[in-house]
Amino acid sequence: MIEVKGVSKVFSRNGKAFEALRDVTFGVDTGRFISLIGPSGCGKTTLLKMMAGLIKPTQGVIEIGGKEVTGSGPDRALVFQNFVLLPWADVLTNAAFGLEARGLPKKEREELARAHLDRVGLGGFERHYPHELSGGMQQRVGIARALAVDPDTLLMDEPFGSLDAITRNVMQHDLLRLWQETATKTTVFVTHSMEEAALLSDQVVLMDTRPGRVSQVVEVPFPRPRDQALSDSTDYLEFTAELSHKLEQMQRIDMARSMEGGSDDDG
Amino acid sequence: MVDTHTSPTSANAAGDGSVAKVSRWLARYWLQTLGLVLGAIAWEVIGRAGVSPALPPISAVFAAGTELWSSERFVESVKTTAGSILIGLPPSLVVGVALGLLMGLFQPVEWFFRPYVNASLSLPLVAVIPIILLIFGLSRTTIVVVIILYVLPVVMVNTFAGVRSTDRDLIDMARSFNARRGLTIRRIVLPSSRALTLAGVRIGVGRAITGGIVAEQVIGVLGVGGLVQRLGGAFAVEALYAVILFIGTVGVLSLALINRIEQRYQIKEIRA
Amino acid sequence: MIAGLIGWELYARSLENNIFFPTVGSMAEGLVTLVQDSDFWTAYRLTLVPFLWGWVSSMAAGVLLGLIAGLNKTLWKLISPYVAFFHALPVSVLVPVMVVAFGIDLLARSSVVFLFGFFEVLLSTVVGVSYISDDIRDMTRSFGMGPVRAFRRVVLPGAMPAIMAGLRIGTGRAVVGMVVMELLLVSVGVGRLIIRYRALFEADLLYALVVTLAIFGLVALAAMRRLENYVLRWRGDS
Repeated sequence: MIEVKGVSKVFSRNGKAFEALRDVTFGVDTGRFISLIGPSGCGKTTLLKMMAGLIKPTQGVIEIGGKEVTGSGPDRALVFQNFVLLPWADVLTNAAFGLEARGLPKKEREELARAHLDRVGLGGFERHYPHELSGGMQQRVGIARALAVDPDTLLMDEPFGSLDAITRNVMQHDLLRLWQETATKTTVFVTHSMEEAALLSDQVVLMDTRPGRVSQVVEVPFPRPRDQALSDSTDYLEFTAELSHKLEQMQRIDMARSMEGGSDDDG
Repeated sequence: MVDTHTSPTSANAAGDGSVAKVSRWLARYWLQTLGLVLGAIAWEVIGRAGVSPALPPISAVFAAGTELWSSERFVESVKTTAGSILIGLPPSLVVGVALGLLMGLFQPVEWFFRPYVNASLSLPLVAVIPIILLIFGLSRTTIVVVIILYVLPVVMVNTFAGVRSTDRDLIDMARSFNARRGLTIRRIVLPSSRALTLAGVRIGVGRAITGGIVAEQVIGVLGVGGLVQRLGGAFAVEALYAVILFIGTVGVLSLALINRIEQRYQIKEIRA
Repeated sequence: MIAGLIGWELYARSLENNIFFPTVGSMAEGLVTLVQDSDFWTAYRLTLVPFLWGWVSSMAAGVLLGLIAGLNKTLWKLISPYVAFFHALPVSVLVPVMVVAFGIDLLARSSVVFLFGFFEVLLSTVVGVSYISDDIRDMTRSFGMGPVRAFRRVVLPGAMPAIMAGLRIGTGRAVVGMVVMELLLVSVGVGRLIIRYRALFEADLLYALVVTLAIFGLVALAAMRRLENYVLRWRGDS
């Protein structure tokens, strides 16, 4: 169970204070998939990094399983938007990196990595190098790397944001299938796309921006297991449309505010 | 599983004779080759016209060259210069890379060496030669010391930059997996700094040749540099040009060689 | 840095025979002595004249030729083997050639400085100009902008960072050329002082002299950097 309690984060940028998050509070039940979604600047990535233990909150606390998050740990794994693979290492070494960090000897970690590469559909590509792979395939390596360390919590930072629309679609459905069939771990997923969030998550946390804060927490009403057909159903389209409009409105308001020369510290 | 992996060079690999390779190379570089040829012709013509004693025709240069390049005195000077470089260069490279790495990884080390490195790179290092000369005299030691002083700062700075250029994202990723410092250095920082370090080595080699020869010229009697000075003093222009051609060619070739090595690494490191 | 100076001082004092490692103190004294010596200033005057000639001409010629070659790919390809050759060559070996050609007068000495600075400026300028991608040039053409205007408003400003950097590095090289000229060409300038002090084993004066050369180099570079920042002030970064 992840609990975010009154978390605020203030960055100092060139001497000026920048409030990235203000008093964010919500909870994620174990085994659920939730999305953080909101316009640019709403702090969703910052929040995710705090859950990962890479950034400390200025105020408030994040607890996982009852214990406060103080740094990175073996119970969580990140998947990055830009894949962040080692360009000079092959796919197998990359997938095994998290395990290597854990201290596993070579034979064991390569076995585990191989197994996970198979799960994400990259069996046979172990000796390839990242630059030889498409974006979608590179991200699969990133996912395999994260799954290989068997974390309790999966943290994904706009993992499909760098991919083209078609690949993104494929990846979304593959992730859905993978998560439902095998992983079913607690997952926090940051995205820009409401369609993505509605397809994959049990719960959507809508965030507003400047300063970043929780606007609404919405339950996604579609039963599991979900499949491809869901994306075509009217219920889904209506649900997504309504929330997308909300999102759009938030973004427009924010743009208007910044054009009026609004300062960073809104009341 | 469908094999989508095609290597870009595999298409050309089969049945490539050296003739084909040369003609492909020519097709790409014909303008440059033309330039070389035109220049050579112009040189010959101008030389024959006797415009200046300093400009002998290229044919005369090659004539003097063939005689000179096989002469004992030339071979001896080359051996001397090469010897000095071989004594001074490798240790400077090793120490330079090591110090550069330490500088990049540990703040206090950087703090300590920064002023020297910066100073050596912004001053005319040549100015230091008279001092080295004063201390070590007209000997090979002077030349070696000059080479070391020329190479060390350059290699250090480039290696340091290489370490610092490591992608922040990669380091964050390693942190997120709780990797220990040693692992991060081994798997991420070191491979990431390879490109710049190699560039530093390339520049260092160039400076070793330059520094060694300048020092020899100042001393006046040792090695290739000394040879150049003596030939100049004797107004043996054709031979002088022949030696210059030799030096320049060696310089170009060694640069090209290291460039080749750099490129081999670059192919593995396509940075998005 | 201070640690280094202190270390030097201690080491120098620990040596009984101070000939090769004068203490910082005596170097400073030497500096003062030099500054008061009229020979010193004459020497610098004689050295700076060829420097200025060589430096200015190398900058001008380098930029000019660089612009032409950068814009005209054919011309560049024709001359690039020569440029590559001279760039890889230790330019100091060309000094005897200059002596044979011009003797040891002002022309010879300026030409040494010229050679050192020229190739660097040329190379940087060519790179700077050719880096203005074809995309941008197509863009100016699509808006009907004539080539002269496009050059002035787009290509030149775009190449400026590289050109300014080239001028800065080229200046550094020209200073090196000046010192090389002094060391290799029997001259009446600073080089003569160097020889004199070495012959007389006046270590502190020699060191002090070298320090002045270093200062000159640093000042020249700093001035160029200032100029570079001024010209490129639209860049907005430090």
